[in-house]
Amino acid sequence: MPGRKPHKIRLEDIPKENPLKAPEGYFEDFTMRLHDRIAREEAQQTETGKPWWQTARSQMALAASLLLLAVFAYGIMRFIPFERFSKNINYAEAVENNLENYDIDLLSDYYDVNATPESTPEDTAYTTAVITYLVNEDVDLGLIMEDLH
Amino acid sequence: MQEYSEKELVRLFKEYNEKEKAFNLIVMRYRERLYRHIRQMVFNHDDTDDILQNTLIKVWKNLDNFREESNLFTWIYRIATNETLTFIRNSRRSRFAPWESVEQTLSHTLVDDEFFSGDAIQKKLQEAVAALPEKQRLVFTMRYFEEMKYEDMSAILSTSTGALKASYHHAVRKIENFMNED
Repeated sequence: MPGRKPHKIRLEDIPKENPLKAPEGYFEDFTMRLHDRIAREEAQQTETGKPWWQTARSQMALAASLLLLAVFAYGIMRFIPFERFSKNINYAEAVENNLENYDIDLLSDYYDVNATPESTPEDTAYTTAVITYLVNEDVDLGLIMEDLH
Repeated sequence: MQEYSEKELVRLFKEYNEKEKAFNLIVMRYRERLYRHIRQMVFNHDDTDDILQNTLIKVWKNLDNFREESNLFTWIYRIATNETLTFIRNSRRSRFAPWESVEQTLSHTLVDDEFFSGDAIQKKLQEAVAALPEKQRLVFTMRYFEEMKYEDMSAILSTSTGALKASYHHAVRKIENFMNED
């Protein structure tokens, strides 16, 4: 009819129905399919869900062996005193070659200056005995000091 | 068959070593409602099937830790809603046709879906729903199609009933405008 406003659609005019239907028989086997999937996921999880220290056991053993080897090698390089051997050799040579030159007063002064505050009378007696020994053996104490430093 | 209450089902699942039986009863009780809820949000049946299974697998894995602060139905619905929203957001990120909005994609999904059985006006209504923003679509679907109480929706969506009513009202207005477009 001319001049008549077109009918405006309102929500309540539309019949309420659900056109989004599940396929026929979908729910009949749904629970079974769901359990299948749960079983699959749990089996997968058991496979991949082992604690990492179990799955990586062999790699960890290898890494530990390599680490141990590295530490061992470092220990050998760092702590076995190759240089001290050579110093001892120099020291022995110095002792042998300089027996006649020594200065007992210089040596005593040196030990007094370097005495630590914790030095006990026993330490001092021991030091004196060492000095006396070295003096009696004609050792060049200046060279020994050089070698030790 | 004995009709268990929600609390009894949870207890059965947790305490009496009848996990599978309790779970099956839960699945049978809620699967169709959950299916409708999810399908109304994603439209496509295969996606719905995936999301529904994911939801129920989460229920299976987590029901032991369910603290019963809400009722079982609310808890499961919340999981389904979160799974659905996550799916929609992931689809948005990995969409095949990035020039289309998610709503347009959903609308096309609806037109192409072989399991859509409505007439022209139903199709148009679904397209109008698909054009709504995600949260409004959720509120509209739960209220209009699932006829859920605002109080239940509030518990599921953690939103006040006032905000839900306002959201529904806006959704209805948008849908009616869409329906009256040429």
